[in-house]
Amino acid sequence: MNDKTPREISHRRYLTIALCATFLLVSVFAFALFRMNRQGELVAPAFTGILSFDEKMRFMRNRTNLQCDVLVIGSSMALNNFHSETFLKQLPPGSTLLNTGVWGMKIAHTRDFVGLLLKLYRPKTVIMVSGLMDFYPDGRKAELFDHQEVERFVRRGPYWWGVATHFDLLYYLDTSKDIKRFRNTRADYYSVMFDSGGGVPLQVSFPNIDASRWHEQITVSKISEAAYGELDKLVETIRTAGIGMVYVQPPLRKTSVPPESVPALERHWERLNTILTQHEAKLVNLQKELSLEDEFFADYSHLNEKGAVIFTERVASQVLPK
Amino acid sequence: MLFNSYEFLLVFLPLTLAIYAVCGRFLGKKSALFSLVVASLIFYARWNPPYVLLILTSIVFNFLMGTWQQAHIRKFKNPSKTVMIAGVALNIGLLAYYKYANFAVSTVAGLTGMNWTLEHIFLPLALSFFTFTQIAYLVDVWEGKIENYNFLDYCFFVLFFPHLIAGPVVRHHEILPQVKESDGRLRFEFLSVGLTVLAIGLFKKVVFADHIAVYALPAGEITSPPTLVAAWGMVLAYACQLYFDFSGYSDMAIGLGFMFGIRMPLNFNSPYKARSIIDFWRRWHISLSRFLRDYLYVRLGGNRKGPWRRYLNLFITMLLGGLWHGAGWTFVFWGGLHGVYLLINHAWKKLVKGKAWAGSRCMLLFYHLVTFVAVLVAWVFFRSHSFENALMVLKGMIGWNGILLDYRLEKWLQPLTGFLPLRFGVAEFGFTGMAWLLVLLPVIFWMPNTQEIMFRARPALEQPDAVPKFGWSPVRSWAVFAGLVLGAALLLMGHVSEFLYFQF
Repeated sequence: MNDKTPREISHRRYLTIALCATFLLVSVFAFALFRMNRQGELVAPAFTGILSFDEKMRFMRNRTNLQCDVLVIGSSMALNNFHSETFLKQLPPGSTLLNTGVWGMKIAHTRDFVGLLLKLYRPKTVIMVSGLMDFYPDGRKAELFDHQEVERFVRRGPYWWGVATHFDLLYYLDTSKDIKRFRNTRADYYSVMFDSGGGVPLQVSFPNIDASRWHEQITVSKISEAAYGELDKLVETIRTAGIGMVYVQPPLRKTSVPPESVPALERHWERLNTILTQHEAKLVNLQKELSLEDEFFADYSHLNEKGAVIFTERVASQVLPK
Repeated sequence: MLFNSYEFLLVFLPLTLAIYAVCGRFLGKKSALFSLVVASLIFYARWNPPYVLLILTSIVFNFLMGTWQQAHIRKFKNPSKTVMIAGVALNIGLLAYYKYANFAVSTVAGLTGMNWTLEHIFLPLALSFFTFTQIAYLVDVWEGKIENYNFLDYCFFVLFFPHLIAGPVVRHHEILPQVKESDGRLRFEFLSVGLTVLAIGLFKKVVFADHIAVYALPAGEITSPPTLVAAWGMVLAYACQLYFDFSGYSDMAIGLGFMFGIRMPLNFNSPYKARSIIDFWRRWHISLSRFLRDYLYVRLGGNRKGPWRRYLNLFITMLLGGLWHGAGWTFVFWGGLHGVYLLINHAWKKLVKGKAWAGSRCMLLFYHLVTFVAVLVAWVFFRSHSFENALMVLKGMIGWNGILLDYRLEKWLQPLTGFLPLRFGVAEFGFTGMAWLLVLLPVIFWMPNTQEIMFRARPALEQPDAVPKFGWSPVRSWAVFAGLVLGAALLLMGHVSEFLYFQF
């Protein structure tokens, strides 16, 4: 290594140049991310990589107070079907509501999530809006995120720390193309344009609906036995904390339940009822009690905004004291 | 802690370098060495703290056995076989318990139909590596090849973090003399060369291996039989993933070692450029091959007991080498398959010895192709969790499941449907996977490897065979290149993914 040519520089200099080049490249991208964030093109820190969850954490962080009287939990059934303004109108003035529904959440995920939510918000009532599909297994582990980290973020810890500790440049760049649109429209199933409570009432109506979504049917045989155990734990956690709980089953499109599945579906509801009654929680089955026409659906299971208003009015009438 | 994590690159490594520099400058070589031993223990403990006790017990035990053996040699002028066998047996026992107990119990239960189960035993990180390193040490002490080393040097030899978690399997004569010669000082020369090698290795892992991994043959069950293009695509993608993963890790280990002034043995030397399976094993996981040769093949008798015994020894060595890679029958089969390849290779060599045509360019190309395909076929068993899965993929590779091509190609290839079992639809192995292969395969076959590029600095113990035209030297352009490669790797290191040789 000692036969130096004229172009060669000292190793000290070499190292300085190399580290400067690294710093420069990283800085360029850091600047780009800051700029994207200012223009609303940077997705929330990828705590889970599930857009709906991460954006919901961002929404929760931006909420002015860490308190709510009514906490809505669940999957997209809660996110899209529960209309915050409609429910708030039925509550006494000054009451607060937070819809923490996130698409793709299975019962186990909601069970894990609820621990953090109760700690953060100490609600008086929890309304769980959940469908049969949330009982299907999906292979992911129940713990989708680090509780401490997300709690720190929601409690307004440093925003960029979340981005840095979950740094995935390709993910941030990839999602930047769509996130601005998802934040500004409700005419898309992936919308994260939250209403005041955190819900996303979809502005999608028949016939402008993807055929496969529209004609999908439930598969009762897919229900996982373990999901009932998870629900039991979830209800127990809420009730042990002295919080009232209501489980709401939203309506499905009439054609989405194959006739041969009806007996199994009945058994499913019986199981739910047993679990909830054991812990003195309430089951509101609007699949049975509320019959909605196709014009109120955004697909086979999600309601559109019109449907969500009717559904939420019905929930309020069953849940709130007369 | 993994080399390709922010925790390692932005916190652990700079801190370790800084402490080493301060200790080396102000407190002397011994404290610098001690700081590296402590850092290596922290590095190991970040994975699972209680297992630090296991590795420390193993180190103390083996050092004491070595010392006892040396005392025996001094006293009686010859070594004690009992001491050596006891030491080696206990090391193998430890490995057998943690790595193979579950496998053995499930195999016996499967064969006898008995309902035997064993609670899952968690394999300690790097167990195979530090056990092999120390077995080699005990055998070498027994053979009188080792001088007296103190405990700190020994700890450093076993624990030094660049080789701790996934090799290379180091030997005392490679590391300890360097420790003796080292003055414990950090040098800019070491840092600049080490950083360049580290950056190249990190880039290979983060950009190449982790991105092609998406298209690689899955480890789990394959639900639908892959068609010709998909089967080849997935197997080639897996071969590329393994290549860049291991090559990247080996570069990083060499780069990290060199930062502290220690040259690591070469562990990976463009194995897919091999023109025979014998050559392949001289290039792939070199330190393991060498260990198996010196401490298994040679001890079984090597080639000293006639050709048939030689072939048997070779086959047994490869079978056990397969078993080392994983406690499963597909791994054993993979080793056995390579054993058969080696036998064929030796027989062929004997057959064509002295024949001029055997060395023609055309034949060399043919050898290269055959070797690569043979390696690919073996990788299918290495990757698959069952023989059914492996056979399903192999069937796909010979066109058993038909040929499915992307529907966009239909307008051009429609006339061929008369001759070939072609179908058109959504291709299982898409254009992006193909594009990755088109980038990576030329890099593998035609680009010089890191050690060849860095030949002037000689960051590894062994020198590469070939020297490229554009070798590294400490000039501005290389500094900028190294910096940008490091920066790109850091930026793209979103998901921390384990190395494939991690936890062996």
